[in-house]
Amino acid sequence: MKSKMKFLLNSFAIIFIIIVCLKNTNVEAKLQCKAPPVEIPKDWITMVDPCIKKMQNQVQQELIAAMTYLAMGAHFSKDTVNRQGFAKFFFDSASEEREHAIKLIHYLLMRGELTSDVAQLIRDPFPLAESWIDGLTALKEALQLEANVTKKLRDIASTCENPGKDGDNFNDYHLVDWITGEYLEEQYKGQRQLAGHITTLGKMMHTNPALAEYLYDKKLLFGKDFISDSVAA
Amino acid sequence: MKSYVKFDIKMYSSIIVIVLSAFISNIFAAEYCYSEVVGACSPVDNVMENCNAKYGGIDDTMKELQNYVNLQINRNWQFLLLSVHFANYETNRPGFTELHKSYADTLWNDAIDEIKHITKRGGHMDFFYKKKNPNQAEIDNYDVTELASLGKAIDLWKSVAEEGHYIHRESTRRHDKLHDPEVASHIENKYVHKHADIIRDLSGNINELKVMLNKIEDSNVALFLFDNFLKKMK
Repeated sequence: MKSKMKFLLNSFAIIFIIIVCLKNTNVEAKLQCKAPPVEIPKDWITMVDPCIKKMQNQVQQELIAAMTYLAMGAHFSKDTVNRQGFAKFFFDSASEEREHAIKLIHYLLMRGELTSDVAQLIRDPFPLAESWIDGLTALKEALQLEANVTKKLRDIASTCENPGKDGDNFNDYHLVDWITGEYLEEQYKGQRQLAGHITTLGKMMHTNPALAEYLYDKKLLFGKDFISDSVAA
Repeated sequence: MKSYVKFDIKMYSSIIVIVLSAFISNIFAAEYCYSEVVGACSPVDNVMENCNAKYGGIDDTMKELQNYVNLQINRNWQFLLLSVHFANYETNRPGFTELHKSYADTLWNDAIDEIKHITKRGGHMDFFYKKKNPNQAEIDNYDVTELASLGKAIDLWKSVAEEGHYIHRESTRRHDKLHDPEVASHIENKYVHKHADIIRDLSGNINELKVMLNKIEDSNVALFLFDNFLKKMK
């Protein structure tokens, strides 16, 4: 009796496994989800490893800057800090830095890169800090952050111009031109803007820091015409 | 001798009364911003612990909102990487690239708005707080097919929507520490309907594409057409 039961149970289990297998093979046979690979000439892909690595790493650097600006925006948005102008400035900067990272990605895609392991490109970036003493300190840290990004961009230009033996000494004229002509110009303009803010606010902070930061915050919120606008209102 | 004792009792009882009244007044004063502001204006400096935007159940919901922002940021990177995968020359699907990029942008902008909401309610943003949720959809491989990417997308969006539902459920509970109509209303107005639309669109796309991929001989042309229409619809 026991052996009969065992036999019955075993046969049920085997039939069940066969049904499941058949069902799975049916689904696989039904759908053609993946297109067959196409033979593509590789001669046009000319970027070399040392240069690619620097470019990929720069994406993460830009995103760390984006997250730090996001944290600055969050800090100045707090009700107990209430610097809406600074918050707006830093939130905008955060989105701008994210766009910079996307711009680098687009360049790599244009040159035939990023066909595999894209997960390595973005590794959960975090902000470098979450609170700041005042607006002036945050602006100074932002300038340091930008200077650091600029330094790394110069390093990319230098590596991609002369990648050494690992990169077959391939001078990547176009990438270097793009980094120096387009990308670095944006960096230098951004740095100059931050330095200007630091100077103007820093001068005002000497006598009455609270009033100075309050006024400068309004300027950042309403733009250059903030005084004439508020007088007209 | 008697008069000394009498004097001592009187002195001690008056000290106790003064200490008690100071203690009681402190308890009541501490609950209100007004008394703190008045205190701050007097020569003795006062710490203002109640002059903030916190009220209702926000204190107990704050961690959930911080986790929500971090989830939105994390999903934004995941959709960005999915869009990168479809933008390389071997996959070359501009429609899928734009679709996933638009999801990444939506989540990034939502994260910024949610940070503004947290700070509107008197909170701060903790970028390092992430709730552990082993059942949540994740991506470990971005080298996926067009159909699989849509499947991944719907799972990721559902996890965002479900997290929103959880916050809504907590903030609508009849509990003194959790009930917060503003948070519930914010989740409803800002996310609930938008998420439903996105998930419905994705489900429609998945089922449509699945049917077209049934015929092996036409599947590659079907993918080309589908990608082009996806781009046009964006």
